[in-house]
Amino acid sequence: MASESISVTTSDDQTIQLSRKHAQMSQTINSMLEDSVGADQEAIPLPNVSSEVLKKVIDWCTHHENDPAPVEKVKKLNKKREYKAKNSTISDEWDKNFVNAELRVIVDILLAANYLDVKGLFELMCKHIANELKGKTPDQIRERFGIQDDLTEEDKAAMRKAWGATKNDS
Amino acid sequence: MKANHTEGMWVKMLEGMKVKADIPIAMKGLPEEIFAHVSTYLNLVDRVVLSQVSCWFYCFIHSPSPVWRTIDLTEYSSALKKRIKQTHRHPDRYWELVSQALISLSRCARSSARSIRLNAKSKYPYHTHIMDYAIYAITYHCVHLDELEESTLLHMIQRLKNIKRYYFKGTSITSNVLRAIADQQQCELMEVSAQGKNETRNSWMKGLPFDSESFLYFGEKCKETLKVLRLKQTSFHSPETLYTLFSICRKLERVSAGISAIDDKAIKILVENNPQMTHLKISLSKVSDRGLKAIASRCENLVHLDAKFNEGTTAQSLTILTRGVCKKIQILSIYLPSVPPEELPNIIESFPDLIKLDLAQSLLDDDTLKEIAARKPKLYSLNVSETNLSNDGIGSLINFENLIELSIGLEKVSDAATRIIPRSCPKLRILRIHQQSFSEGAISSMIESMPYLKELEFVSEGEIPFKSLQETIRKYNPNLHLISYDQDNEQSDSGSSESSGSDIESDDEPIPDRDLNPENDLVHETLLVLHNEAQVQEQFEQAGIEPDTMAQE
Repeated sequence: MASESISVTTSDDQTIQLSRKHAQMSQTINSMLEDSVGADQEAIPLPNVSSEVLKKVIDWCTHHENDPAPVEKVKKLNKKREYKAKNSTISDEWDKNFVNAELRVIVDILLAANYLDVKGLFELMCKHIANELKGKTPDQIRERFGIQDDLTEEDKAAMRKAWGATKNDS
Repeated sequence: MKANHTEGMWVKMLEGMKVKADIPIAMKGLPEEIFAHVSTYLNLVDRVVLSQVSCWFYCFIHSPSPVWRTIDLTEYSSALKKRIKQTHRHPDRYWELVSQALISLSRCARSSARSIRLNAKSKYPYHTHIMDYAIYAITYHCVHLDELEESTLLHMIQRLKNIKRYYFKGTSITSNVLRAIADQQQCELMEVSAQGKNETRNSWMKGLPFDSESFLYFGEKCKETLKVLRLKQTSFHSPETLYTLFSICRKLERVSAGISAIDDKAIKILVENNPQMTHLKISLSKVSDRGLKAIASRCENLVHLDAKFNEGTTAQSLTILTRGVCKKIQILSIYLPSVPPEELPNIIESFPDLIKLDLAQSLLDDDTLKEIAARKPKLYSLNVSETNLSNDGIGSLINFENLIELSIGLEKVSDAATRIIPRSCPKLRILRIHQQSFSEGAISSMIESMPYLKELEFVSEGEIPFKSLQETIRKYNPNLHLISYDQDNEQSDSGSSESSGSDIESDDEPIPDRDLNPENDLVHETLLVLHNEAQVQEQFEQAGIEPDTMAQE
């Protein structure tokens, strides 16, 4: 009988135990588990995920462990998208608190969700970043994301000439 | 098919910025495809703003990346969405082109430019359609009529080097804009009309004043390219402008000058210099029999003539035309109020290719229609409103085997006609009823017995009982499109239960303009709603016309 917990090794050489249920929410780990059926149960290496970020991912998985199966959810979402624009609203209060973190952490979780293939988490992070960009001026976006303005005045003038100023042009 | 990178500030900027573009530190390690996924949650305006953040973002938004694979167009026209979907199949720099079109769209949606429609007809046909629809959507969704920003137009004209067709509807074209277009020396189509959706009848009739000098400058510069000229509801300060214009331009194939100052002399100059003319629309103008004679003696290739309501034409007008050289006419609309009914059947003999005939307000009677019917006309469209036909005559429509569009409005017909029409015209798809007092029950039973009817239009002073008809339509023909025009010429549209209400854009749906494809605008005009019918394909084939790509959507 398969063990109820799985060991994984993070990029900072930490070994972390997570429940099989949570592990299976990651398509990447799930595939690895299927590939290693019958083999000695060694810790699964996750070289692209740090322990700090993995703990965050586990937190999210714990909160969403009773959500509908990921495949079903994606199917529903896709069907919806055929008719409606993508909605970036985050409705779950817990999720709202979860994404209330530093940008660097958000980016790391997004990368981890992408690597681990945790679809719900991946979409949540994408929505959050999109919400951070929405309705902002170029200056506000630069400030929020710490982006250097490397456009020259000439570039900006050319943009204005090409399209005219946008509503949010600063 | 590759985009020409030497053209357009756009591409130059992109190339320049790629050199110095570096991903922002905060985004380091974030693969482009992930960021593309993020951007699918952004609307067009946010994407445009994003492109102004840094060189990296500029390149990211403007490169043929997955950014544009999901496009939030809910606030724009569904026609544009369809076009985007359709074009999706063609890979040639498609995404970049879509980006350009859509950024133009978002930029212009905030301007008040309502009534310009630019068709970037070029060697990039897919780009053309995208741009065309994008800008058409802009014009459709902005509200103000007369606040066209000249600077916006000038930017667009100068930036979009490949534009060869210009449509200015319901707005004034300034001298600067006209001259900017002229300086490109490649305009193939120019349409300037005062007709806007919200125009009142008075302003519509008054016409649009023109700067003659600039227009002649335009004519001179584009004389080698200009093939289509539409000057509907326009007026020059003097008719001499038209005389000069028509003597300069010698490549014209289509001229539309309804409700304008065009007169016999202008027509004479026009056809002498442009005997290759195929389309001529001069209704409600000053053209008389003399003008028609000039047309009939010169225009061998004419396929469409609309000379309705020209008060200078007489009973001789039909004879003039039938004796002329215009044997290829397919669509004919002339004013026939005093032409003896026995002459009307000559139309079918003289114009064997005729597919659309307007006999409204003529002396057409039952016997004459039977005579016409005996000649087995190919007509797919017939207007017999305000004639002397009775129920008996309506019965002879059965010999018009191809008839798919019929306009009636006859004093002598009764409710019985509503039972005859379905039997006589089994292929009918469009029925227009002008000023006719059929009872509600008769119309309902007619709808019931015509399940294939696609469009039913009422031109009436009285109110059409839509509510009760809706029930019949829902039950027997849910795809029927019901239209009514009241006495003030304001159109109300009561679509089927399927189309009304469920789609908030249905009323504002920009119908692809027939002019997008000059090869078949005549047929497209009438058959747009019927494009999926195999029967219509046959009609196209019979008319020697390739079905429009727009209509195949």
